[in-house]
Amino acid sequence: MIARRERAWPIVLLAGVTLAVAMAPPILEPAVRLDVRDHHIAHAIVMAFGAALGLALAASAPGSGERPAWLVPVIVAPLLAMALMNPASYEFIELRPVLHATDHLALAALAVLTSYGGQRYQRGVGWAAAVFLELMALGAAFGFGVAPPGAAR
Amino acid sequence: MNALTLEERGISSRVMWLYLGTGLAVFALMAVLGLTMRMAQATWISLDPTMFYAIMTLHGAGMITSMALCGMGGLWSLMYREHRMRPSVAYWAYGLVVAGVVAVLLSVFPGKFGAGWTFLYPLPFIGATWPSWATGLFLIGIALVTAGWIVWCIQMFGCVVSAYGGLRGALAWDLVFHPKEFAASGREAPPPQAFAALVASVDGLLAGAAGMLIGVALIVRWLSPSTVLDPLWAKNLTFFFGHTFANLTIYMAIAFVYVGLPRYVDREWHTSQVLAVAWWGTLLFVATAYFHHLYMDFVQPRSVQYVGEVASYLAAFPPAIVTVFGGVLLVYRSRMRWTLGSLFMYAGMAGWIVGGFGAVLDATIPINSILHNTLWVPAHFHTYLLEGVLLFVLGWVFHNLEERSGAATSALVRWIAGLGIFGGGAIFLLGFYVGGADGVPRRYAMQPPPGPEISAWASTGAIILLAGLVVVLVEGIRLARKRAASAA
Repeated sequence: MIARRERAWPIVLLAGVTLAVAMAPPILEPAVRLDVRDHHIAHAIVMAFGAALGLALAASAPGSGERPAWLVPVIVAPLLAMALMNPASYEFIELRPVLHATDHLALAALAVLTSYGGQRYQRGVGWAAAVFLELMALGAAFGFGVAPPGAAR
Repeated sequence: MNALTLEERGISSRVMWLYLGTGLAVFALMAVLGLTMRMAQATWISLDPTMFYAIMTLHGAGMITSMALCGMGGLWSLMYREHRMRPSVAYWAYGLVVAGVVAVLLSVFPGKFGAGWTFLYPLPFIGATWPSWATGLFLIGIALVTAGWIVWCIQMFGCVVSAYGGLRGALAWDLVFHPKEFAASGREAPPPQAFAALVASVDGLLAGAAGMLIGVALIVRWLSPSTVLDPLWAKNLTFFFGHTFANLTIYMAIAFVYVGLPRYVDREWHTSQVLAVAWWGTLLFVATAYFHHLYMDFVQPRSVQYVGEVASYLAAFPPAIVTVFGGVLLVYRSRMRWTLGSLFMYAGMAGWIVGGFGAVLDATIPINSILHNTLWVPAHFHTYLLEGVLLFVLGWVFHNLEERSGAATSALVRWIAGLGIFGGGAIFLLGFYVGGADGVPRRYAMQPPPGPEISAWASTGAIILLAGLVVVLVEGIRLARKRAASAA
């Protein structure tokens, strides 16, 4: 029982930090407007905590061999995360703090699903999935909704 | 390697032949479309330019996918012998790729999407002569192919990591840096084909992530036209995905040679420290060579242009010095049994070297400034795809057919097939090289002189080549039926 509690508290702590990172900025500082690039990077940070939480959750889950059903979140969750990072929606969402916080929560949840799903599919895959999700989120900051002046559209 | 049970052999065989059969069928369709384009450039037939560019788009996307399918299926079955995997995942990957191929086909017939398989932003959206739905369907199709590829890469990554005790074991780290301890431990190094699986999965996942990112961004741009994208960013992602995906087809197919060729010479192709380090190099260079596609983009940071050139040069060393030279040594004085299978595998290594040499020349910045966007570019990748990847695939197919039927192809048929594929292939490919050296531009429906004249003899070569492939197909069916008859 004690060992179980000892295993649980880092997960609870990480979950709390993830929630705080995801929800605090939109709720506590609703007037702050980030440009698209910084907003993408902020999302990447939220997802990094989410992915770490997913890995922590999966650490105590049983695992040997392949569980193909877990591949579905590994593929679908990053795609949904990228779709949620549609820069055209940022202005609308930023004006609504609760929606903004929910959006961040959804991104964190998708990151949890990605890494947790990867680990449940097969040990080691969750780490790779988390890294690739982060690469995609950070990569978006350099061109998705961001273009130099005069660039062809 | 763990011996397969009868049921497991069936699983391995079904997955392999499903992928190989589909890949080769798509290849055949794309080859006919390629010949159609070449004949139109030769002014033998009339083809509306809109249709030409639509076919060109399909041909490019389809050819790479067809060879990727062959590599995926073959390598899956080889790695299944090492470590059991769930076939359902392989079928899901297959289903996604095939769904993507169908979507791309529909975007071209009847959609006439013609922005090129590279779909370089903003080309799919500006001045389009095709309907908007065709753009969306093409992008969704490519995204589905990428999703299928990622599923396959994830399974393959999981397989190599599980089979050899993590990434360290899969890389043969201890074999290279602690050889004595490694030998004393009694562990075995991963076989050569496992390095192909590792590199394909890791670089494939990196490329897949880039492909998914640009795919989602373009689909969002299609649905929401006010979304802006940085064209240089889009080009980097597109070529990182496209170049790496195309390049990996040959690194997957070389696994067939690692396994197949030794059986014709009764020698072993074992994992050495040099082979392991060579594959580490391939892991790095395949992921960084794509910058050579952006030499003409003056806003690209200069440092990465040098990275592109250096990586392109270094990428040549592992296959040339280690794999091909190793293959030649394997065959040297071995009393090799020359069958259609061994002929294709051996000749494929020559095709890889020739195509690779053309690629390295084109990756040299001063030469690229002259050859860029000329027919030299399709010259090198047609060489390594047609006389490299395809021959490795055909070699593997015939190796399997020969083993199962216990029969071999007659010398006469080997000569006819060889003359058709290598002779016709050489004439066809020379058309690209000579045209490129003469400055004939690529991706032109109507070429300036001497393009049409060169296209005419290139078309003749392509017809001879296709005739050779038909002979090979007939021979393949004969061997397959012989096996079926003996099994009955």
